[in-house]
Amino acid sequence: MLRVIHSIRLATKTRCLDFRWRFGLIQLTFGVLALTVCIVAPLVGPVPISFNAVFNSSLPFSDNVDAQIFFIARLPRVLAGALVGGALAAAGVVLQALLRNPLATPFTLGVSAGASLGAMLVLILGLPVPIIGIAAVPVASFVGSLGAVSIVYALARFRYQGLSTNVLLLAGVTLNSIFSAIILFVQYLADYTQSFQAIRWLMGNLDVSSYTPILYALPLLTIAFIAFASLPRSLNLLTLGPKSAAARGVNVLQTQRLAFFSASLATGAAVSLGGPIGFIGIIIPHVVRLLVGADHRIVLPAATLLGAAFLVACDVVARTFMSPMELPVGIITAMLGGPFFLWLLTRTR
Amino acid sequence: MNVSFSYNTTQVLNNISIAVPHGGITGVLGPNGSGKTTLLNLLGGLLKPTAGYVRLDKKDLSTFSRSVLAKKMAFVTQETHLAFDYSVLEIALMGRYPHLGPFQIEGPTDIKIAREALKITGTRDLENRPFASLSGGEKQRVIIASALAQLLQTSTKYEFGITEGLLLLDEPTAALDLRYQLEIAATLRSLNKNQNTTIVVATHDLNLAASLCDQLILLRSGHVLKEGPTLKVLSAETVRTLYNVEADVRFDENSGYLNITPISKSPNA
Amino acid sequence: MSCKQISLISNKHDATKVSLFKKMNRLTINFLIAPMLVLLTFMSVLTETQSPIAIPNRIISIVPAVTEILFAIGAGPQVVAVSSFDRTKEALSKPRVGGLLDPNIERVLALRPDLVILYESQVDQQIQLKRAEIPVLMYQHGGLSDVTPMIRKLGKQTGHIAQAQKVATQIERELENIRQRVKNLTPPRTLLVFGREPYAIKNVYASGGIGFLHDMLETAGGENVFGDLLREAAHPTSEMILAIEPEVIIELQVQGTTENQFSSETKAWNRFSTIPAVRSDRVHVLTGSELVIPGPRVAEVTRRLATLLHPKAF
Repeated sequence: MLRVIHSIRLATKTRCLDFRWRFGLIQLTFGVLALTVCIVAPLVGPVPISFNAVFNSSLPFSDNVDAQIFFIARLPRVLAGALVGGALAAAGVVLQALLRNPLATPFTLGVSAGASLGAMLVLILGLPVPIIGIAAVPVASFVGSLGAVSIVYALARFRYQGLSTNVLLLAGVTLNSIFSAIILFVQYLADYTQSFQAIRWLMGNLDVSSYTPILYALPLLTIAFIAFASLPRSLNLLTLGPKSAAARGVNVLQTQRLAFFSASLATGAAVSLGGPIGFIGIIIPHVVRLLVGADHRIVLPAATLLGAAFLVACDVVARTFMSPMELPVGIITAMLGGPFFLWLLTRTR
Repeated sequence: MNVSFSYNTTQVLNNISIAVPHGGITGVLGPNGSGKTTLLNLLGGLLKPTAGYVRLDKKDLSTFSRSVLAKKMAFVTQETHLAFDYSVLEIALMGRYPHLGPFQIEGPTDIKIAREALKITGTRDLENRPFASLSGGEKQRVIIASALAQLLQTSTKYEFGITEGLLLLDEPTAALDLRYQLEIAATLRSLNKNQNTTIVVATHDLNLAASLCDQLILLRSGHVLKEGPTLKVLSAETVRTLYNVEADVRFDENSGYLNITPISKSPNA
Repeated sequence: MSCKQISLISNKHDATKVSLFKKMNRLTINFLIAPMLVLLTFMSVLTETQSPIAIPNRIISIVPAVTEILFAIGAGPQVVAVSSFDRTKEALSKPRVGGLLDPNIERVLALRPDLVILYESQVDQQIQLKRAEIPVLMYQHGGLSDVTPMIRKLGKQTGHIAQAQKVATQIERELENIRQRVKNLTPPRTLLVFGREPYAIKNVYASGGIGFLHDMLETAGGENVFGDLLREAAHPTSEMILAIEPEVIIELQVQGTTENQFSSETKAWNRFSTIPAVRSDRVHVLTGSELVIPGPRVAEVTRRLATLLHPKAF
């Protein structure tokens, strides 16, 4: 398997294969990986279930515990994991290109802080009724992320003709600190049990147990990904710097705006679905770049697929590792992602 | 192609009116802060003048669409810092952006053109090397190749040439050592001669300007001091006015260019 | 040991001594006083962190359960301040000094208490108060069976022995009553939830096999689905909830809930349409702060639970 990756990498780096071929091969590899993980994942878990029992149509659903676990508990979880993982990885790629900084993450520009604050306010202050049938916490967290994004964007546009990525970065970092301070303050005021709920939310949780939140996140993510589809080549040129990109005919302001808003939308939707799960947005883009080169037209879809596979796999580990206790998935992504990345880095030098 | 520019931008440039002749190498010379970069940016369409106009082929720059403009004019910045590691060929191919549709992938023609551009700047054999591993001079030449790729078009099936093209370079040799300076100068000269590229170079290096450019625009604090052929424009007096430096300007028979040797600071500096 | 207490002791001692003085030799009495003083000092050192010998009149309670007990046994007037999480009617008028995570020692000291009740884990605060020579009672979180001994203990310390006894016995009788009534009934498998994300079945916290919630449930005639878990809290995922198939779900929500919230919170469980509790419509959301406080209302709460678990018997 490693040899396959190695040979693909060589082929991609030396461009001896035509672009279309490379694109197809790489996306196919990652796609197969993602699909395999997503198919296997719902079958694995702390409670052993059998594949045959799940799809045994002779047994009525209400008596078939295996099927119930598969369709009600695990499948939504896997789907949510795939969406969140893919969205965060793609947003990471786009934001790193926008800010021309390999250390940028989807959370750099304050989106996650806004989302967390929104969720905290609901968990701790309590909102009266669910809004249009959706649970209050995801809605509030999404609204919070939109709020944070608007503030950051307004600051970055404040006195500049274009969109200053430096100001964007600074505004995002500042907003993160301010919001984190507010979050801590709100938690401090909270009841001990509410505070605990809030802390658990911040660790990330994919246990959605219903398809509704997924269905609500889907349109948002679709919009974001449609925008993502038009960005890769412009992002490539943006790497040279806004001036050089503009000189080559790129509409820099439009590209930056589109990149910023679509990445923020994807991140906001992902965080409201599963909480702020870190590490995916920074590790996956780098891993993919190490494997396939820096061309965003290949990196963006590949990162999406790998992100999905990665998060679903981490979630499987999170719920089986210390069964029956469930570890927060954010811990697993950090513990697996970090060392793996280090290993990859040493192998390619 | 006739290139003429007339514009004024307050704060940096004041009411300047210049014309860049087609087919030659024009230098924009001046001390730091005189507005060279701004002028070049305006020429390249990267900045809009607050008052006045910039015209290419008697048409205002704003009437051209982005991609059309990019096919006619290429800009090379002073330094290029890449956030991610692309290969040399990928960077050269980036110059083909204006020639491709929104989702179009570079075809074999584009790759050939990119390779040709690399060949012209003598970097063809670096094709698959990661950009970050190159030396300063090589990097700059690759960037120039990338800019060239914008301008190159097929004239016949197997040959490539620039039918009309304008290359703008902002301090291309500022951060390079002597050897690379000579390399770049040679490349630019050959481009001008063989590909008929109009070149505009902004620089504060007097000797580079003297050896490379046949026309000069001297800028001082946002005003044009003098404009015209190098031999006429560059003299001890103009150097004194521009840089407040006493210099010896003389024509060197061997090289065929002017040689400027700075001597001392001017008394009333 | 404060000087006040030593002088109290010696004052008391002097009083008795006066009547004996006629009978005893002065020298002998001196020989008696000294060792007795020493002995008493020694004993008071031993019981330093336990109740003072005098009746405290300025009690501060950081533990809501203790506050409730104090009010129930008639020691309310002796309480000068309560925790920030006390929500009962009587506690509302008293000043607040913080809670488990943020006790405000400054405020405590400013109120000059003569007895402070802290959580077992608040060791730093205990040391601070010891330095200020204020008696401290460390509250240990226990099960249901620890409630009535605590009531009696507090009764003894605050001088309300009789009333404490009455309250404690009443609770014990009530609990025994409930036990008898459910003795021969099959206990339904129950999931006792005390925390989750609002309107979503996420981050669910349920009672484990240890603790007073579990004890209440079992007394009320229910079988805790997590009865074998040797922890106070279980954190089940959707998968576990499905696998465990509870017959009854009882949710304890501490804060006030409106009509609307009740129904939407109950409806939130409908996504598990296949578990017995949802199918037989036995999902109950209860509200009230007394639900999670091991205080004088435990019997009340247990009865509420029993009514839900065995409606026919109550």
